[in-house]
Amino acid sequence: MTPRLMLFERSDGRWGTRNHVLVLPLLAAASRVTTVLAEQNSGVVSVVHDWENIPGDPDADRIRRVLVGTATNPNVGAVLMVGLDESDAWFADQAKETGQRVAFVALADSGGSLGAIDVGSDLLIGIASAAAEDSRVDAPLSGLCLGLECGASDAFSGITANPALGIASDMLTERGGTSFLAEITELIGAERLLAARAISPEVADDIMEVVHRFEQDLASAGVDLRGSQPAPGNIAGGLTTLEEKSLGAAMKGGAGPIVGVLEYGEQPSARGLHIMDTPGHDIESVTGMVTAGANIIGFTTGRGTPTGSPVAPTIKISSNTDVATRLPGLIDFDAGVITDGVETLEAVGRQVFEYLIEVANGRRTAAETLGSREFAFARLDPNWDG
Amino acid sequence: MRDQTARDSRRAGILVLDPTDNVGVALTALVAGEEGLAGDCTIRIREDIPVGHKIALVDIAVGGDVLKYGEVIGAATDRILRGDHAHVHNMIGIRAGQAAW
Amino acid sequence: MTSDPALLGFMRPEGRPGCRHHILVLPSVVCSTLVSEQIAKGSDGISFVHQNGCGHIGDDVNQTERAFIGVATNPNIAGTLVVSLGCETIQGSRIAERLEALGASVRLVGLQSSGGSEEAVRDGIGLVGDLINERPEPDRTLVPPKDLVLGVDARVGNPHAVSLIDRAVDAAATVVLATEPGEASGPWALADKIILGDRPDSGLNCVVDSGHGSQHHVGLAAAGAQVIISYPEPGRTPFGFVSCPVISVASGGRLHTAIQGDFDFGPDTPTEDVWDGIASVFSGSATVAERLGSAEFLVPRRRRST
Repeated sequence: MTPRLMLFERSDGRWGTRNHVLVLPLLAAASRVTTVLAEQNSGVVSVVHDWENIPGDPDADRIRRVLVGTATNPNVGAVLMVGLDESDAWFADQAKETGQRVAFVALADSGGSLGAIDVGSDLLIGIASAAAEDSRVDAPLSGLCLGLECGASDAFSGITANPALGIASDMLTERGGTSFLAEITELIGAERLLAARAISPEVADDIMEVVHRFEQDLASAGVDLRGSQPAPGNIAGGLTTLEEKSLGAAMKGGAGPIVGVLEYGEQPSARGLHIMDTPGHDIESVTGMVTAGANIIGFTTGRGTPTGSPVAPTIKISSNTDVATRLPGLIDFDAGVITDGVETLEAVGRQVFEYLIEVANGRRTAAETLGSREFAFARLDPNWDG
Repeated sequence: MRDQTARDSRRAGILVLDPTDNVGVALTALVAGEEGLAGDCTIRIREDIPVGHKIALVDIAVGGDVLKYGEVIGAATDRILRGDHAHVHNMIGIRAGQAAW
Repeated sequence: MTSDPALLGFMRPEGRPGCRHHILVLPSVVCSTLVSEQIAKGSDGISFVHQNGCGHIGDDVNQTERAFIGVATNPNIAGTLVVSLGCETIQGSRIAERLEALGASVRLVGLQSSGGSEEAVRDGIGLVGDLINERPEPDRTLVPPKDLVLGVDARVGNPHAVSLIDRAVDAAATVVLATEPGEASGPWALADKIILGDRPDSGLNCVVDSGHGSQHHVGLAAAGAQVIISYPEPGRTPFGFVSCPVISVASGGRLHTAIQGDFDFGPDTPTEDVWDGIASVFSGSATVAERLGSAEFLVPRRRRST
């Protein structure tokens, strides 16, 4: 009944839906080196980010967690890390501990950027040829870790695409897989319904706590969230309030039990549906889920967006047929057929699940075809007095 | 709700997500003066409403709860009449604004 | 009084001369950075990657808009193509309208309105072509030193920077400083304070609250600096900037010695040589960062995303 799943088996027990060779800058100053290396070596993926690793940065620990977690995501077959000096070898050591294939080059060991490009090119050839030995093998559904995301939502997101993705997420977790429901901003107003699905009173408390912590954090900063949420595109699409957006957004978490609440980028210790503390910013949220080991992303959209994780294949599910028709290059799967009266929600939910398996097995997503590779940290305190 | 979504949508024109809701969702652009069908109820549409936007199913007083998905999604800031467009001009979220604390 | 080396730049109808003649492909949001990069690669535009434009709250909306508009109206920019997704907090259409109101040559392309990424890339390449036709690169002409706006990125009190600031002020150039949070002294205390996106008067100015590290470059470019001179602290790295040449001067520290290939000048370069170097870069010589294609754009942020 369940289609065959073929994934890359990793030494830490996790499974990859892709086998990327990643070139990762450990600080913003290395971004140019990694970009050039990715341009010069086909089949290599790189990211750009803006962390300068300035002493005193209060977000340093969570950003380090993202860099190590991304480098060791099971979809990464090998990683070349580009750092500043020997102190950045710490990242390579952390990644190696998980069994990852790691190469490391420091700007300070190679005379600067041009030297690092030369040294990095040679190192890349070595790790890429080692990663090329990996092949797909039969894998259990418990090997899938699904990140749930919605972006550029409209009023149909909560009626079609999100509940359909929720059904797929329930089907996955019922079969031993793991899902992350993130974007705490977009759970404000839905937390009571979610807490009622917690597997224990402690988890229910954690759900209420993570939402209220987020609200209080903004309140203490004197910020009225209603200036930016819903976003202009949401409002144009018919969403009026944050609560309304949240009730629709929470639908992508399905109806099943919630087993735990995770910090930003924290790896789960159990399978099943988890809530993760991320902002609603699509890129920061997906980056957090990928850090925690998400190897596939289900991303619903009402207005269309091209973004995709550099590491986890990102499936775009449209909430309305109009956007799927107007922006065919951005959309993988149209859930708008539900309000068109063509298909039932249950049938579309099952099709989304089957589509997840196909993509996990190697089918390219629209975002992969475009070459999307957005990457951003969710900072807590970007303006410290360092 | 799930089955009804698929079955009645096209014909109805207005989707009601929960029986307790006092707003429905326009499944197509609604035109002022025409009638829309929300389940078994016929509603006279008082103003043009874009697809995906909300239409009041009953009169809502100033300060009254606006209900969708069976949950409170905000409060009316102006009197909303049955058949009106319910959106940022006549309703506001309650959560996540400083006023809420 | 020493004589000043010649500055050769591009006269602009709307104000100060530029030292580069760039068409800027400006993504209003992280979601349109890839398309912007592809437009720039397929045309003669320049672009950059950033992580901003959506999920901002409070001051960050205004701050990011001011950064984008300030950089796009820098005299090194001949025209700007704004690349929008369509639903973002920092609306691309608003940025384009405000640039137009300021007299800039501007075009707008949106992913959601043009039918997707490939279509936006195709349309965007055409629009950059239009901007190039509208604002062809003029010949360089002699620029008086008083029309130089020099951005200086240095720690408060850095003696090499102080010496250079004095030299620039002697030449009647406008100087813009930026600082880390904390005490100001010397030229930093004397300078007129401006905020991100403000245009300075003549003389000595300082962009306050302009963030950390290479975030300063955004504030300096938004203040209209044509050239930035940067003295990274001993533990920090040099950075390029998308639309202004950045001349980096090394400290004598161990790290800077190890990555000296990324610097334009060594630690003990006489002020007069640096001043000549600024004129040479202004007049068209490429900096190390420009040759490498280094184009970081780090917007100072005050708040977490939502």
